[in-house]
Amino acid sequence: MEATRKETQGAGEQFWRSLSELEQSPEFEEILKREFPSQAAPLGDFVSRRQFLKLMGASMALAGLSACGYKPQGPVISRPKTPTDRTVGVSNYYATAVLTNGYAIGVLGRVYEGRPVKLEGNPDHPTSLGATDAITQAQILDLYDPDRSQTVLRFGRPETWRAFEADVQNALGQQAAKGGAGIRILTGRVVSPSLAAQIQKFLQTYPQAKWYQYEPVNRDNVYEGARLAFGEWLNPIYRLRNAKVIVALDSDFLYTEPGAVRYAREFADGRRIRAGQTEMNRLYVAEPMFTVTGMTADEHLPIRSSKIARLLYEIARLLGAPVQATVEGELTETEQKWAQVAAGDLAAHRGESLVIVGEAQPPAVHAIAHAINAHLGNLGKTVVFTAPPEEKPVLHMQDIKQLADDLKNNAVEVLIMLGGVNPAYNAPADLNFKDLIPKVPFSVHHGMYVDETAALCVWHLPESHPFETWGDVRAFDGTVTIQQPLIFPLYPNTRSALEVMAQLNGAPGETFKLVQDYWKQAKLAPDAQFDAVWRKGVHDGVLPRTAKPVTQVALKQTPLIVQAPIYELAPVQASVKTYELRFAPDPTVYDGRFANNAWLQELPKPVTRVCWDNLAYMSLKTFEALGLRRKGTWAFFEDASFVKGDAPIVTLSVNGQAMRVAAYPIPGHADDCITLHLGYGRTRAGEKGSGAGFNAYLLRTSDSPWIRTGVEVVPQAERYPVARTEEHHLIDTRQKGDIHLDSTQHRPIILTGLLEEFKQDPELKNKSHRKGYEWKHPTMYPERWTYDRYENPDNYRYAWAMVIDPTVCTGCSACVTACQAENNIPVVGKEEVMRGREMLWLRIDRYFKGKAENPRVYQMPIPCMQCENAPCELVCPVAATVHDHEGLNAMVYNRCVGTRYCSNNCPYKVRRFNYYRYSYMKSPVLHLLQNPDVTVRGRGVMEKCTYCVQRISKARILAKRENRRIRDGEVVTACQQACPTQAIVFGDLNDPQSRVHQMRQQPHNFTILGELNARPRTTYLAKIDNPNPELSGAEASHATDH
Amino acid sequence: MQQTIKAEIKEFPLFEGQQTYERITDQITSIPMERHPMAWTIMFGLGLIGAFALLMALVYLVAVGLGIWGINQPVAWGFAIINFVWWIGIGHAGTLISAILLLLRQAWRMSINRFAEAMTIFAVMCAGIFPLFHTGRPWVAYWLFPIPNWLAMWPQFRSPLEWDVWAVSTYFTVSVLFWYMGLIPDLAKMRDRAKSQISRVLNGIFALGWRNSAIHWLRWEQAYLLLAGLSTPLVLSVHSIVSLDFAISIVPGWHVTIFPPYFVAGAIFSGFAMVLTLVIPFRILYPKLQDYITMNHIDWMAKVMLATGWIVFYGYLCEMFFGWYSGNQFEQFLVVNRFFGPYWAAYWALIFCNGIVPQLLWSPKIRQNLLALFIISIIVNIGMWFERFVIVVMSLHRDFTPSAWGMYTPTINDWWLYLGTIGFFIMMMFVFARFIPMLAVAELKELWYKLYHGHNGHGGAHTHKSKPTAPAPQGGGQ
Repeated sequence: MEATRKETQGAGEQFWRSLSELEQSPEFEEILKREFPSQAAPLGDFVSRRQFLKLMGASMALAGLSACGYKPQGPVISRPKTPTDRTVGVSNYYATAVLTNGYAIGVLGRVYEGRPVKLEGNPDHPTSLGATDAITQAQILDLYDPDRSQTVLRFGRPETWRAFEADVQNALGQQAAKGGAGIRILTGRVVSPSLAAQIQKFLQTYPQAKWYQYEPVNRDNVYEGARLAFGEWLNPIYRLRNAKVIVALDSDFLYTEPGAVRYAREFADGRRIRAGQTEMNRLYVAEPMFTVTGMTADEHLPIRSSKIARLLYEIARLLGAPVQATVEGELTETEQKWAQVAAGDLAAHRGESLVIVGEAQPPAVHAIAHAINAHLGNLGKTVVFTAPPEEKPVLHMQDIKQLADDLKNNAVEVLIMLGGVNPAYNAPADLNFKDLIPKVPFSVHHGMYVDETAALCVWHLPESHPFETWGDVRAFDGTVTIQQPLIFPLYPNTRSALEVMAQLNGAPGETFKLVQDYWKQAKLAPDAQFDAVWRKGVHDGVLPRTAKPVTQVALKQTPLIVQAPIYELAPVQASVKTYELRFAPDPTVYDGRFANNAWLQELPKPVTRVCWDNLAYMSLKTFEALGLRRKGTWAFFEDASFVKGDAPIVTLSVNGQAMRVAAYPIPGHADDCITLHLGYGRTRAGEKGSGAGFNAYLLRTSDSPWIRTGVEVVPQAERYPVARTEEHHLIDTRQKGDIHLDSTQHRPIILTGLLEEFKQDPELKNKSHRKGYEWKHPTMYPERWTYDRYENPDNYRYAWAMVIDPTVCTGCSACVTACQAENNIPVVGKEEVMRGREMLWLRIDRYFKGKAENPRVYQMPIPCMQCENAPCELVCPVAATVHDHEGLNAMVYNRCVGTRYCSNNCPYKVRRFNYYRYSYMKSPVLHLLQNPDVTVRGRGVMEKCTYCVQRISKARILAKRENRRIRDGEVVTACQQACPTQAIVFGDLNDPQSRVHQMRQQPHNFTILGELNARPRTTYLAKIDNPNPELSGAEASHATDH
Repeated sequence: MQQTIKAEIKEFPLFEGQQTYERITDQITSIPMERHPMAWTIMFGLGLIGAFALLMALVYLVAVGLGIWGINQPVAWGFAIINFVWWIGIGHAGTLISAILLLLRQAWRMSINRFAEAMTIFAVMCAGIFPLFHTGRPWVAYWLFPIPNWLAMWPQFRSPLEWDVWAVSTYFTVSVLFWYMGLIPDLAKMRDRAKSQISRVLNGIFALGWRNSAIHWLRWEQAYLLLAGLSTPLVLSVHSIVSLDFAISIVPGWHVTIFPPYFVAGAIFSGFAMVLTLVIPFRILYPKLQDYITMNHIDWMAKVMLATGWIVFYGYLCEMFFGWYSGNQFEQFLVVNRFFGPYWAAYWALIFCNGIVPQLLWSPKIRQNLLALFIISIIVNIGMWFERFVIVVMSLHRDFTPSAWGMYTPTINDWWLYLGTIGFFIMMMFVFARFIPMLAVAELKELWYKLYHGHNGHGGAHTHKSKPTAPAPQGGGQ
């Protein structure tokens, strides 16, 4: 077998690499003659394109097969569990890192027999702290994406690396005389020191060549803001643990901005509230549309992005911060009040407060925030500054503009685009890259996909996935992680950007050597100790002392004088009302680079619960003003077609640019503005991503990449189907303007309270949830799940349970994707989601409360509740769902005949059914992704969460071997492990010392739908808010005490 | 008792035309032997097409999966269960007429029982398709039967679906037996009158050697009565058990204690509606039947519909009252959601079809108007379908957890399968009409004897226009 595999691999490579080799190889001819004497002659003489393609197809398949099970190149160093060496069925963990939000987040890749199946956060990494976000979780799927580019292309036709190398040497040779004046390199944000060194080396060879970096979602405003305030580009790093009052303006620092996973943990640590505690941090958020941060806020203010400057300046003025700015516009009474209260709270917490401004806000706003933070004495306490972690910090919008200018002036003869950069899709529309790239005589695109840009280039080079090669990347604070390969390259013809640059520099090499050599030269450690330091650094996933040092900063002038930009709010034509447009990175596909990731596409967006799409989000008032709200049938009745949901198409146009997009109302959105997420409307993303959603880049310009005013909105007659996992009741014809809440308001689903209430009554006894609904049902039965603990104190049973704390849950959905990755949960696609058949075992419920203009948001992750009196078990006619002795509600897939009665009888509706054979995968490469510990479910079978029973079994086996009980914290469920805020705690309820037991003893522990007496093992802590009594506190108190 | 019947008969004759014993036999047994009207061919053809559609729908379903239907989470049961309950309900009239009315000595049942029983059997066949094929893996649905296996893995007997298996299969078995038992003397008549060899042999085989001896009649009478006794509890049990599929669960709108009687009443209601829907065109198609299924029979069936319709409507009122009186927010919301929720149209269609339209039956004129009755019976059938829609879909689509609420839209495949079963049903009814005496000849003759020549004297028969001319009762098969 092994021999055959080697043979086929060899043959595959030989076929694959070069046509000329194939034609000339005497061995091949020999084989051919032996096998097919009659066909040998024609093939020997002449190979038609058809035959070539046939051969290539075969060799590709063989190459794919031969890839499995091979060791990565170079000495990778594992983080061994037991045993130390690789054992079949036992996974190893390797530290590496992925780029999320443009910066590294450290992960541990779980590898089974040479194939990685799951990513966990690296507890040693400063960004991760052991947790991840949803995008990070999903990147394992990208590795196995069958749509990945696998071969070098020249004008779309398969070619070889050798042919490319020859061609590029020729092109570079012509440039050598000019010092490379016609060469331009375009990359994304480079946070890899070794890659940057290679590029610098190239630039030394060709001094006239230029290197540009472009990311559509960038830190330009942040760095410029720091320059305005402090005189140099600096990267702010927040110390949220120290912050008691946080004012975030148009900033999603808990989700999309760099460092979000760490920030979420620090933020949650200041917020977790237990009996006896009296303090929580307080978060003020002003933003145009709810973000993950906004949903977590205690005080939320919907406001147009362009007015943030005015709002912040008002806060600065009230605080007496040393800043002078000219800002335009008038604040409304609500906004004024909000500013006053926020300023008051900031003033009361000098040195332990923080003002954060988002990436989309112009530099002046950042500068004002810095002035306020300086005035409040927060610098060095709640926020510190370091040099930018990029290898060569640039202003991305300027870079891309310069490149466009160069292209327009025909100054570019060789354009090399490295690392999947995709300007044809994501560059600002006014630069018109689509027409500029084809003008370049020698253009090269290097990326994992044959994307929009690749289609316009002469050459396309396939990029290897970071899990296939060595590399090095910096986190948002500068910490370097050495990326170890987790798998032998699935497609042997792929190369990383580092390899390509090394090749261009004439010094090709293996990535391992390239990376290690760089760090040797960079004096990571004295030569004698290098090996040990390297070894430890690779093992830990963190290179020591690589974080950027904290810079002492001071305002460059007092008072600081800044000029905030004036937004043209007046319409172009006075007769037409215009709107403001705010661009934002998409919560799941980010700037479009993850568009072909089916997990991310299907993950319901944290705020909107929409999947597979981006829509033009606006407030209900704006939606109505545009005449988009559909009239109901009759006044009393709900309109079924509306509940099912589709959205009206509108045309957005400004200055001659226009796009079609579906409009969608969302509660808590600011009036007269529209939020549009980037990353959709791709045409060449791959099978999953192409054609989904609407391309927001069509309206983005280099001058106003984030906020665009003067946008005309014209409703169209069409409607667009929207897939969302939660019905919304926003535009209920019965409820004029209010969110339709009567159905949820009185349901004992979530227990909420304010900090003040909690202090007085930690049990929140007066809440309706407690009254009448959650009572101990009298019973004469002994307590079934705990009694043997007293009878048998040494060897009592486990009683698995989970407690979730919605107070710190931000709704970031990392747990959902982690669950999907761990449990082999299939993706079903937009159509099936629209039919209500999404398969995610864990969902995040989101409820709004209050007025549609600015509601309060409550979120809770809902896994299977593992009821002790499980309603599902009673009704299964074949005993396919049964209780195990440790209290798990087990699902026996093999026994299930698929009556779906269990799902009907589940009050929490956490069961999922395989209506089709969802687990079927056309591409065999995706089979490598499957977690071998979890059954892959077939058609017609019910499935659901079982508290990661495979992890429990694993721990049990280990514990049995060591003749001990499973320790608390030894079993970590996938959702728990991924949670950035540690809102999920799992463990043994029978162990009085366990964390879960102690959480269950908390006075504000509650059960969803307790009156049903299903006795769920999953319970929740009350969601405690800390609004300011001067603002919405009083109102909120009233609202929650229904 | 005999007196009462006779008094009634005076006013409401059970036979029309000039009857003799021989004529009864002739009229009814001649139908399968004669050339059938063109309409038969057309209707049978339509039914056949429907049956093929059913077959194809099932093949497609098994090949591709349940995803071709509109069901989802949370509405995991849709058309399949609605149609199952609907067909089972329709299948109720047969046994009720055969068994309960027999025990209640309702003489008028004699002329429609064979017809109704046949309808029952075909309806239960249609019903049985759904629970089998609505499972995700129908090829292992046999696990619902307690088949001994070396894993010692038995069905889970606490599940109402398991009870269903027993209730429905028992009901089907007993219905078939009962129907066949009644057929035996008539098949013997067919055998004796058969014109072709094939007909003689086949009828002979199924007549089980009936020789019309007194001991045959005695045994037959005993067996028939015993089976009637046996099926009586089944009339109540099968739909009660079906209702427990819902009532045992905790879903608001399903967890209702009045479901068993309410379902049984609904079943009788829909069963009689279906008998009317079939009898009215069959009477036109086979005018010979008009002498035996008289306008009086039709009038009585309409009255039964009116009565059971009120029981059903009372059930609806109860549900509304319970919703309010329970003080339980889920139940209250259920009622509001039925009235005003997105499926309001289905709910109000139900109230219209089952609550309002049947009130027309108070009018004797309408009860005598075949067209009006036909339309009303179809409306009631539709209404009963909506009742199951309201129960199954409207309860599931918005239950406890609002975040998991959803909508259900049937797909073309749902309709295809449903219409396919209707086609199969029509086909089977016309096959029945083609090969089997549609009315129970022996029982009709017995009735005739009892009414006009019974040992209590001649009764009012002399005043009746259909005064019998034959001097003595005649056995079958002459």
